[in-house]
Amino acid sequence: MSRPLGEAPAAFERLLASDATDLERRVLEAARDSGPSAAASARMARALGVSAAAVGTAVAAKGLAADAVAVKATAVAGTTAVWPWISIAVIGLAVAGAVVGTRAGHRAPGPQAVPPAVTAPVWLPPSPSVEDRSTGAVTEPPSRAAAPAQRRRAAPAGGDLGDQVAFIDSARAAMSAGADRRALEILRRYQDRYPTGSFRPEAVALKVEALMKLGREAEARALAERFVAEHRGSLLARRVADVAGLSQR
Amino acid sequence: MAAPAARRRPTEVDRVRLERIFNAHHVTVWRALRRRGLSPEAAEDATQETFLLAAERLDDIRPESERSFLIATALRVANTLGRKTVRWELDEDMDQRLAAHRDTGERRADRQLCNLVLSKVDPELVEVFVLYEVEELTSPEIAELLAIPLGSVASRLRRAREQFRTAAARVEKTLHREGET
Repeated sequence: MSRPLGEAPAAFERLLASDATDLERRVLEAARDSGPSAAASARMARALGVSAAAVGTAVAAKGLAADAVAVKATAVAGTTAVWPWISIAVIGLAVAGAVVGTRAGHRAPGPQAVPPAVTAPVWLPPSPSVEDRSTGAVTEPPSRAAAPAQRRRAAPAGGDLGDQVAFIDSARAAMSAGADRRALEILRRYQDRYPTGSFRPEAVALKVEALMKLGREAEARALAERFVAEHRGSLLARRVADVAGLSQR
Repeated sequence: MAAPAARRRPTEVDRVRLERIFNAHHVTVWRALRRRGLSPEAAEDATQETFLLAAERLDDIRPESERSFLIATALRVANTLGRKTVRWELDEDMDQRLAAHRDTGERRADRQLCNLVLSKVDPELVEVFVLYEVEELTSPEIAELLAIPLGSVASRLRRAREQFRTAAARVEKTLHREGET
């Protein structure tokens, strides 16, 4: 199907609706059919605290049942213990809210099986406990007495430094997306984990910015003043002062 | 500096909306992340991250823009992972495996076929192609999503189609020669 150059994009008919060959159709339909496994969908839904509508398969049901046992059987997990396997992408997730459960043991795995993610529902429960609607299990709010997550994941490349960079990147990503409270949580955990970390100044600078964006100006200014005093003359101090509305002395 | 008010606490209405958009779009989001070269497990994590970010911005997401917002957010998440280059996941020896696996189930064969053909499309073009042909986004939506002019969407799509059709024809010829069709 050839079209004249300069034709308006809106004029493109989609291949599947026009003159795709059989093989092209197979390819496009396969692309459209691809997606996460039902069990993966179920894990993601649980992590978000919602129900996955399309996971009524045996696989998903098996996964949820296994999770229910795990949630009932295990102690509440805190997020700090999750770091050995966590990826940059999930850092925000892990610190976003309450971690309501983890697994005591491995699911009977195939070579590609991934135990369910530690769940961190967006919907912070209004009461001390929340019922997991998928499983009926009652789960608890987060605790720092963490049990290690069982998900298999390679340790972050670069060891501690890579881990630290991941924290800072995630905080920045959260702020870019307007998720300032989550950025603060990420930064708090970074500071808990790395009290003398290499990126502590950057973390403080980000914290000041997040606090300002959340309207917590008094806290932001107090923090900024301390920071500027400790890092007087640095570029970062200037930026922090600017963000917090301090006059540079 | 004028600071925005702190966001309100999520409500049950928010949860229901998140549930709806999760069920409607999480597969699309996952696919978008896979196309950025994330492994299935990493795509799962990044999909969760995408919806967590969406959950914090529900008030700002117009109902008609949910899918675009989610894909745009997913692409940003992928960028934070250093995945800026689009590619279709493909085993190096897929060419050989294609023939060997063609009897192991039509669905699986089609998926391998899909990987094979799309991997032949220039990485710069394949994303526009898939967003348009597979995810059925409109050209203006893609232009906004990828922050490129509408004309670039059209030209990329046109070139992608040419490459796609050439690759598909070549594969078809190979399969035909091997007796599948």
